[in-house]
Amino acid sequence: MSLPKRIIRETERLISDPVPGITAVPHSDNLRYFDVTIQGPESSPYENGKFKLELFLPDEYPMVAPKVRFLTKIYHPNIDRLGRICLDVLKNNWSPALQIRTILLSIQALLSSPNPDDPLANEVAEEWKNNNVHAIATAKEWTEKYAN
Amino acid sequence: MGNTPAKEARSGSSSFGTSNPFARDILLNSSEQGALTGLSRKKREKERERQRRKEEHLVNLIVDYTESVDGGYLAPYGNYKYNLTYKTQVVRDLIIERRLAPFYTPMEDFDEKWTDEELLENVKKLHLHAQCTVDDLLDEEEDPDEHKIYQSANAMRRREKKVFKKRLKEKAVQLQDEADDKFRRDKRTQASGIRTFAEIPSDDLLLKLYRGAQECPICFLYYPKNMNLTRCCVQPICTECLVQMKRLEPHVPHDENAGSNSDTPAEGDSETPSDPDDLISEPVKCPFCAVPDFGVIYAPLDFKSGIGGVAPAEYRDSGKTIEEEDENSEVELESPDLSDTKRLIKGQSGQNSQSRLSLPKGDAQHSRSFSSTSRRLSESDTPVHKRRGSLPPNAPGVVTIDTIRPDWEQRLLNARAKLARRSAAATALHASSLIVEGPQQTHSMAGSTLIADRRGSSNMRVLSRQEQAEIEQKMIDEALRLSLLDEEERKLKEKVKEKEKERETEHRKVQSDVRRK
Repeated sequence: MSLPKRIIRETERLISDPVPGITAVPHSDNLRYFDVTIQGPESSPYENGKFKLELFLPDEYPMVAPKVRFLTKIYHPNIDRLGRICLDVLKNNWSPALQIRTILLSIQALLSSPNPDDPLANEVAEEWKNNNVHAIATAKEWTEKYAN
Repeated sequence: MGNTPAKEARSGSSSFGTSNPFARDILLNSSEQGALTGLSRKKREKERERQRRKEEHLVNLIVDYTESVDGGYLAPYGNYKYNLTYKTQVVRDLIIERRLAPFYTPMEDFDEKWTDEELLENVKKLHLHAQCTVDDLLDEEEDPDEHKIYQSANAMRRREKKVFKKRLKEKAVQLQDEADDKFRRDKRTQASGIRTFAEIPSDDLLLKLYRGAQECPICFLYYPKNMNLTRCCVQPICTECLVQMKRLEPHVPHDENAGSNSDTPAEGDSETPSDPDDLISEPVKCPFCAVPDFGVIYAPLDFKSGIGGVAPAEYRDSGKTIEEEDENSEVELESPDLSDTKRLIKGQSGQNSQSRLSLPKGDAQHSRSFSSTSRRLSESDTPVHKRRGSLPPNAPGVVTIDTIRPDWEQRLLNARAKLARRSAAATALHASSLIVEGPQQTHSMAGSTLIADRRGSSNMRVLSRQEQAEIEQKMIDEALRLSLLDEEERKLKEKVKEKEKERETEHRKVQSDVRRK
């Protein structure tokens, strides 16, 4: 099955007009599967970290959201041990007007503003709320240890 | 498989005037339909009816160039390979009524700088439908039941359904291929000058449509600029993307605070709600501005071709001189003195739509027989893409996703009924496990006191009269609840049926409106 024009166009635009701090490169043997890196945002505990993610565009894309997962270990209340991300636009608030580009920007924004009231990793969220200083220190430590 | 009668009937009449675009025949003959093993006559009839509806749905999805509306078609090009589940008849009617943009053949590339010749060359290369390969058919997963030695009647039926579906799909590919071949063949025949075909669009029509083509922000393909516009934020969207939009499956409300992590383990509990009435189905939100009750509005072109208008081959841009005239051409009324100026300002279409000859016949028909809604739209001769404020979802002319997918109510009902049945079954199982102990106990008591004593020492105990009464009461309550649910289901089904009927009447009206011309 040939690749829909939309995916080709998005891939071209990702390469010709890249988003600062984000890269997304499709696999040559599967153009629906992308290797992604996201730079940890400034003045966040993830600053200077380079996080690897995988992104897959299902057959129904863009009518359904891309599947995105962190490959790099990260200490974040909305990202669990398996790298799964709790983000509304990846689930029920997905809209076909969104793109790979906008989704990755949303994920980057999630790193800047964690939401411990809507946790995916419960223990991390508890720590984030009850012992914020320690949680942020752990996040920094993990960033140094794993995200290089 | 050779040509089916359906195909013969359709391809036999190439001229629009004689063909009946609504003639829809059964695709598969009864021997192909499967034996429908082990069903009563009534059920078999119901099953045939279901199959017939599926066939109709599928035939409605075939792009046939002899069924055109303003240079577009009544079925999608095939950008999306997966199942098209919208109500095809509703959408066909909306397109014929000019309340929704027709399915135009998309262009993958478009360049504003193309000359007329280049544009025409590119447009004429387009196929009626995306190429379908056999691979596209092989998407169904294997049924584990097929490997069982003993097959239940249900498994047999499932397999029959699958075979039917597969045959239908193969047939669809075949029919679409034939329709494509016919289009190409007719174009070649016409190009070699042997004869002309009334449904092959004229160059003028193609240029008028595709000059200044616009990109659909969802599929990134180029379409003629008369696109549907969202009612809320006035964004363009092609009809093919529009018919892909649908409500989410019935679900429990998402807790705003707990977020919407639907496939995380945390939500496992809320996925199994106890009360079927908790299930909800929400209207689709606008993909661009997230306003609920997504709907579009369409302003038709200033001329009509195909169904309800002039034959596509006869469309002439008023500015151009007619080289060859068909004897029944209705567009010869143009003034030749316009042609030079027209040539000059060509390309900036839209602004000069007023000066263009607006096919008097088509317009007269239009205002006579179409609903006030579409008339209101066509009367406003202002350029289509002028900014306007947002419209409420119930404004005249707005087509919502629920209009083209009216079955959401039924789906919600089905989901609720399924859940109710499941929880009722669980309750019944629970209750019966208590009851079963009762009679056994009495039986053994009648037999020997010794056994009764031993039983008594195990956790099987005699139910007290009061306990028995309680269970009985529970069963009665449950029976009442189920019958209430059944009643509710029946009422809703009736409502759905009524709506179906209304649609049918509406559909017939559209048909007769079009036929009258």
